[in-house]
This record gives sequence, structure tokens and C-alpha cells, in this order.
Amino acid sequence: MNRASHPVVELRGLSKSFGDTRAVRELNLSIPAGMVYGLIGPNGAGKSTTIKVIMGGLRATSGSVRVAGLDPIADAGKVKPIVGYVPEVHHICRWMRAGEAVRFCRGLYPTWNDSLCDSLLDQFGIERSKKVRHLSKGTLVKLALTLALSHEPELLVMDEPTSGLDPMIREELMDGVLRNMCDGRRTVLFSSHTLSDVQRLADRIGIIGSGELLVDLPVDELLRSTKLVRAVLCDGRLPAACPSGTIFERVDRREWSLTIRDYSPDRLEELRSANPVEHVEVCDLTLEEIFKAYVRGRRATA
Amino acid sequence: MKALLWKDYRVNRSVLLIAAVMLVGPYLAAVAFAAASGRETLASPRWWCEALTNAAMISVALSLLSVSMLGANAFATERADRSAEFFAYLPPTRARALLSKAILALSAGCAIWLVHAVLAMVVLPRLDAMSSGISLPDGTIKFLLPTAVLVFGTAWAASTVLSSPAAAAGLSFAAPLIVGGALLTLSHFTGAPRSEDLEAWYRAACVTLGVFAFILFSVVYTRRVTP
Amino acid sequence: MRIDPGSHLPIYLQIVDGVRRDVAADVHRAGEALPSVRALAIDLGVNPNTVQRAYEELEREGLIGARRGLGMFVRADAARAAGVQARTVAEAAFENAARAALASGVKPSRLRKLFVSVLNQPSKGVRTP
Repeated sequence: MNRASHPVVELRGLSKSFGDTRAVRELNLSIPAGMVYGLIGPNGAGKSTTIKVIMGGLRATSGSVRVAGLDPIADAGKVKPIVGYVPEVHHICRWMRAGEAVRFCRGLYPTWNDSLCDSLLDQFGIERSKKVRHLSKGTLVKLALTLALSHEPELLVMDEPTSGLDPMIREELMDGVLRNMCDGRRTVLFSSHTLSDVQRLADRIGIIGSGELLVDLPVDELLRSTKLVRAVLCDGRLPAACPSGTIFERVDRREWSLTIRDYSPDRLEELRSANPVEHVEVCDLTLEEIFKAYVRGRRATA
Repeated sequence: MKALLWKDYRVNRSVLLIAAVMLVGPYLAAVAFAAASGRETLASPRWWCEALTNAAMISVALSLLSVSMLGANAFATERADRSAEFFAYLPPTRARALLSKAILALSAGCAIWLVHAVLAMVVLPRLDAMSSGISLPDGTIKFLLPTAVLVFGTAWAASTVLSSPAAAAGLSFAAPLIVGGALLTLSHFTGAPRSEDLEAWYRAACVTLGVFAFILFSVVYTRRVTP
Repeated sequence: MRIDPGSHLPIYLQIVDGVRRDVAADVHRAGEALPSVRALAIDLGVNPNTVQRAYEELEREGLIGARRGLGMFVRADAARAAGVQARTVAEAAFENAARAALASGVKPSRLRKLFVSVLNQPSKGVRTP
């Protein structure tokens, strides 16, 4: 089987429901080898669920999941050795010492790299003799990342790795990922609320809202093609029709602001011809502003 | 596999220790008692026979507790402290993980019962031959061994699906009572099985149900996806 | 070089600006090697592909060039290329300033007057209002 020809992660029409709640709906995602993919979205949008399905911890309700061309549940024995996982909540045995946890995992992965592991432990300042229950939150996450990286996985999956951590530790973690995974051949999928981390590290971004993938674009293209249009409305008049591609719009006194995707001057024409506006301005947006526009837009149409 | 066995040993360390104490304790108590009583007691085979028989009965009864703990602790403890979620994403398949736990629990259980068997079938008959009169209640082992199989099988089965080792242990003790009670009720109201055969039926039922529960729920565990 | 991930400007363009500034300030001299893609990526804490894009853009502008197997070097005629680029940036800034002035209500005739008076002055630098 030639793994290089498969996308490393492929989701087709993935849906996952818990009883009556549809956590993920018809998600399509394809991550090729060598890509760093950032998944962002509000809490409860379905990021963790999607990640757990990819990791084989949840069974999809419908649709297909493939990791390196294999089913993460049916072929778990072949998939798990090539994936490194840093979960959102850590459950490394609290009675183990850091060194014991390392030795334990070492015995389970055929590709374990001892010197890499040692250098990571030193780099992260993890005391091998300390029990896991005595480790601070940041050190625990660093240990989890060490365990995930030391067997040189083809895919690293991280679920909100930096939540609740101070900026110093966040930088250490991202640096660790950058040094060890970003070589153009290995793949990273991570979800995060720290948008600056996503913008720095990700090649491509997906925005999940209410279980759906609203956006799936390279970072720079997303920033380039999403614009804020601010128009001044003529006295006493209200907007008539939004141009196509409007994600979110708001009227505040006489200012009408719209966030538009796939922006082009045609959209401005559409806006002007259909609405009573004078004076139109087009601005760039930060990733945070784009994210908020998508979430607000979602809430407005929900 | 070694890593898994090490981990399962560490998780069960206290249970194994308690089981060892419960196995050996009654005999040590007998020895201590003999030492305190004086020279004639120490030399009397008849006294030893009686004392060791009593110690054996206590030890065998306690071993029911041991196998219950071994079974109940196998999966439920890891689920209770959520370390099961850590293991779920590591390479060993569920079948492998189960095998490691089974090796540990079954070896410990067999070791305990081997000690009982040796005592019942070798040591005590020797002592009995040297003295006279005291008959050996080997019926105890004949009765309690199948019960232990049922207790272990039920504890193991409950442990694969529950998150509380205590609940699993509790269920495991209810099992022989339910089986015994059911047979008695059946015999009383329908006349079959006959009261002479009750014990044989009980033993057969315990072993069958115990092994069946062990195998069935092991398969259930292997097929589950959530930790 | 500092990268602001929260800025409107894509990171690769910030890197391009940063390298240009460094060349103008003589941090990297003509003929000197630039940090490797990987080294700069780790240093700045960004994806190596972003640095790659920035280097490609700079190469397109003529500021830097690749030497086979040795990485990227500042071109000898970099100063000239830097100057060209600086002018392009200044022109864009001028356009934006003019637009902003018009948007805030400055009359075109007033704007034209200001522009002409600046051109007629001997070059002195920026006049603070």
C-alpha cells in the first residue's frame, strides 16, 4: 500500500450524533501529507468530536474516516503506531513517574527514538523522577507532547494543546511542534483557540461552526479574500439586499458593515446597485475578526 | 507486552499484596499460636492437622475475596481514574490489553488455588495419616473452587463495563448466592434437581456461568470503541 | 524582525518587509547569506512554508538570490532593488493617504494645492502639522 498517495486524513460526509444532538454534520476534509492544518471554532462546535473520530475514539454515525488510507477503528493496530495524540484533557496514569511513563510508552511503539525523547525531556525541563500527579499543568502538557513526538509519528493530532497555559509554555510547545513535525513530509492537525498560534503555524485553516465546516482555505487566501465593507447609508434608508458571499452584516446608526467572503470588486457593484449607500470603504480583517464574523453569522441564521 | 504486564502489575499491586496476605495470614497465625502455646503443641501432628485445616478453610474463604478483587480491579479501576482514556489511544489493541490483564489475574488466581490444592491434597493428608481421627474437609475445596470461578468470572465481566471496582466486586458476590438460591428454589418447587444432586448442579452451574461470563464480556470489551 | 500574527498583513509579507528593512539597515550586507528557511522559521516561530514564500517573493523582487546548495544570499545589486521596492511602497502609502483624506472630507482642490506646495518646496523631510 502506497501511503504517500493517500491524504493523511480524509473525512467524507462525516456525521456524528449523540442521541438527538448532531455534533458533526456531513463534514468533508482532506489533509495531504506535509500540511499543518488548524481547526478553529467556538466551544461546542464539534472540533473535539471530529478529532476523536479521527483518532478512533468515537464511531462515526455516518460517512467515512480514513487515516493514511486506513480505518482508525477497524485497523487501529496499524494506525495508532503512526499517530501521535495530545488530547485536551490529560489522563496519563497519575501514579507513574515521568520517566516510567516514558519507558512504558517506549515499549509500545516500534519507532521510538530514545535520543529525541531525551532531548525533548531536557528541552522541556521535565524531571523524570517526578510523579505525574505532582506535575504542573504546563509540564503535564509538555510530557504529553514528548510522548506524542518521541515515536516520530507521521501525523500529530492535538486537541487545544495550549488552553489555559501561560505564553511561555505555549511558545515552548509550538516550538517543539515546529522543530519536530514541520519538515514538509509529516502532518499536523490541531485545534486551538489561540488564533495567533494557528496563524503562525497552519498552512490551512478550517472554521467549524455548529458541526459544519464553514471555511477550508489556506491561511493567506482566507485573509486576502475576506474583507470588511463599510458603507454609509443614505439618510433614513435601510439596506435592501446583501451582496452574495456576505457572512455577517450589521447596521449601526448610519453605518452598515458587512463581512464578505471571496471578495471582488463585483461585490461592491452588487452592493451599490441594490442598496441606498453613499461612501463605501473596504478593509482587511484579522483572523480573529474573520472568526467572529463567521460565528456571529452562524448564530444569526441558526 | 512486557510494558503492558508491568503496567497491569503496578495497577494491581495492592490487590496482589492483600491477596498474598490473605493467603498466608491464617497459616502464619496458626504458627504464631503454636509458638505461643509451647513445645508439646509444636510437636503434635494432630494439633497441626486441626490447626492447619482451620487455617486452610479461612484462607480458602478469603481467597474468594481475592479473586473477586482481581477480577473487579482489572478494568474498572482504570475507567474510574480515567487512565483508560490514556491507554485507549496507545498502540496496543484492546485484545492485547485484555490479554495482559487476563494473564496477570489468571496467574494470580491459579497461584492462590495451587497453594490450596497442594495443602489439601498433599500436606494435610500426610498430617492426617500421622495422627488419626480428624477427617479432612476436602469437600470445602470441591465446593469453593467452582464458587471462586463464578466469583472471578462475574467480577471480570462486570469490570469490563462498569466504572466502579466496588460495584463489580459486589456483583461478583451476589452471583453465587443467586445461583444457589435459584437452584434451591427450583428444587423446592419442581423437585428437580433432586436434593442429593444439588451440590453437583451448583458446582457445574458456577463453573459454566463463570467461564461463560469471562469469555462473553472479554469479547464485548474487545469490540467496544469508547474507553 | 518581529512578526505580529494578529495583524491584517499576512505573515509572509511581514517577513518580506522585515528582510527588506534589514538589508536597508545593513544587518544583511550584499553577498551575505540569509538564515536558512528552517532556521528563520524556528526563530520566528512560524511555519517554514511561510518563510519559503517570503524568500520566493524577495527573490522575485530581486533583493535576494539562491546559490545552489548554499541557500539564499543578498544580491550585490540589492541596494538598487531595495530602492525600487521602497519607492513602490511609498507610492502605495501616498495613494492610501490621498484616499483617506478624500474620505474624511478634504476637498480635491485643497488636496491638489497641498501636493503642489510640497513639490515646490526644496526637499526637507516631513512637515509636522
